[in-house]
Amino acid sequence: MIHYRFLLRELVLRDLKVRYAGSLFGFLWAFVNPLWQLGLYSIVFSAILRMPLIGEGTQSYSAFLFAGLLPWMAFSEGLQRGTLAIVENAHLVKKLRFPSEILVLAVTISALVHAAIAFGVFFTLRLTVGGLAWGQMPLFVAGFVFQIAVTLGFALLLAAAYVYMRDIVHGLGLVLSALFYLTPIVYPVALVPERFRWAVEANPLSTVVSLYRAFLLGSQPPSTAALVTLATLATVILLVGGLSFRRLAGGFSDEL
Amino acid sequence: MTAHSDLAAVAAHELTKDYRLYPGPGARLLEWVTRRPRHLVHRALDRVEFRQRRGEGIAVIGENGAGKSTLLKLVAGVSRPTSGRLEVNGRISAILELGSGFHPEFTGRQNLRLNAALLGLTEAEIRAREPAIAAWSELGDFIDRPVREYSSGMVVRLGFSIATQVDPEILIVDEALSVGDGYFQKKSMDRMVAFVESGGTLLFCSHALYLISAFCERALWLRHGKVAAFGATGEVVREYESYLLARQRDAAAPAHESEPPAAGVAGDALGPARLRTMRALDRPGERPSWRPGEAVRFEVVFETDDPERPIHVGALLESEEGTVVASFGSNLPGVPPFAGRARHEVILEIPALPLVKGSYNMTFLLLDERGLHVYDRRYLRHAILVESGHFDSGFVHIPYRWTVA
Repeated sequence: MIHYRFLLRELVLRDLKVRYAGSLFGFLWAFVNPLWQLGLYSIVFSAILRMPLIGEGTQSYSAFLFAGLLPWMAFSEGLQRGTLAIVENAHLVKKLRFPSEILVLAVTISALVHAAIAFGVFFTLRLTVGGLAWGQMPLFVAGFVFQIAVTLGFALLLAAAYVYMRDIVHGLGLVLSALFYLTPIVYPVALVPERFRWAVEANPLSTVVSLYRAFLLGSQPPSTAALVTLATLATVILLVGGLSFRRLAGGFSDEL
Repeated sequence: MTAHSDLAAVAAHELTKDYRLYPGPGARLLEWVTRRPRHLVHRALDRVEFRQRRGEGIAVIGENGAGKSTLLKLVAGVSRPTSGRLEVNGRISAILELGSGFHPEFTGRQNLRLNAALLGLTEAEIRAREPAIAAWSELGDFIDRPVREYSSGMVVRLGFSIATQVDPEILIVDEALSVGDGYFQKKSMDRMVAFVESGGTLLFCSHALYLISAFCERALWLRHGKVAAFGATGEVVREYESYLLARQRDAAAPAHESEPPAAGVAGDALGPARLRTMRALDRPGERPSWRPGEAVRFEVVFETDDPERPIHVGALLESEEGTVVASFGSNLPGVPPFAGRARHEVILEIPALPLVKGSYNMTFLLLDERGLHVYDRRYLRHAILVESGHFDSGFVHIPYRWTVA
């Protein structure tokens, strides 16, 4: 894999360039999408539904929402584009011999680049306001690593499965829209009734979101049980995704 | 070095490839759930067996659908065998479809870098080779233009240039030369000859049978996924040709369908060398005729755009059925090609015609200095008519006598 470092960099750069090539405002669109979602959800959930922020370190709904949107955007974008990565590059997979998981990895990283820019802006803002909880930083970094593992694991599994089963891309949209509302992004964990709390803790994305908020906003950090679950699930997902991909990769060129 | 010299570059043992054909998208899911097969199996390769030594060129020949491309894909490592063993030792570069890995929005140079990286080169290696790859492709300023602006010939040039300059130990070429202009075809051929001569291993698949003997010591003939013959190129090609001929005869199709009969006077071909006129000397008329044993002379006039260009002339004598009876190439050992002028008038002389009777056609060719690349070819119908007073069977006169034992 080290041997392919340069290839990975080229693929990520190519992906970033392709997406904005030919558009007038180019890379600016990378900022429009998150800001648009931020504005819409703020109007609906804060101005209209008056979402109470219980147990969160901030009273600003926009700040609360944005901290939750950051990992979600990287996850959903990475997963959606990662699923298509093999089929979209069929011309390469069929004709050249190289580890094709690198294509999935490249779009996952490219999705992270977008999130990282948004994160940088938000981080600077919080730094000037002085709302960062530095004590939570190590856990946040761990959460970030697990976030990548979860994204990549699912993306690898779906990318390989998508080669054989083209229905997957339709199902993925449904699952992602459900997952968005089942993860405490637009609402705080404290609002979830006690009897459903286990579901939140079992969802690796909820824990990742909580870790982002704990560091950026000083919110209540997730429980140890939730952290252990996240670490276990992330490892399992990455392993299952990676092994399934390897197993299915042998048939890619015949199937595409 | 010597320890590895007897190690095969490519070794296939009982190599088999099956493709599964599913009737619909639901069939695969149903099969997976019920564990009962719901597909048809197409056997593209059936227990293929061969060994390729290091530094050897092997040609893969056969009809369409015989499994040539499947075999090349397996060796290139983009597809996996269903059963059997395949051993490949050495760094591979494969041209399975030229320019297929290019992105239209990126420049030639950007595509070059990505393609080379996909072939496994590091950044430093790519940086070192980039100028040579760009230069060989002769794209000029186009190398920094988006690939969507390229002609198909330009895409091919860049693809071939990359694949051959990433220092492969094993080069796999699938039908790549069928595209591109004559100049490029010759250039790529020269490159492949140089590659094999410098010790490279070449696995080459082509329908152009006259080409393969140049790069390939041995040929592998595939028929319906099985090895029909494997051995010295000349022998295997002869076997394959007679097989093709027999099939054509069975189909009752004219043997030389691909070559429409053209007039003896050449048209306005635009190659670097052009045949102008071919005519029989001493025999005026539409259908010149000879008697067995007479001398035959043909005058061939041709022109080149560059007087320095070395040219060999060739001719094929063919029967009415399309069988090549004899060939007359000027590219004999030690004979230099024609050069030094823009217009050549040369004479082919057959001192004594050994043919007994019948009507024969001739194909005249202008070739490069290796006798490989064809610049121009013309077909002369009813070029030689042989009339004999005797009643003889067969084509040729072989000296003989009967004596009392």
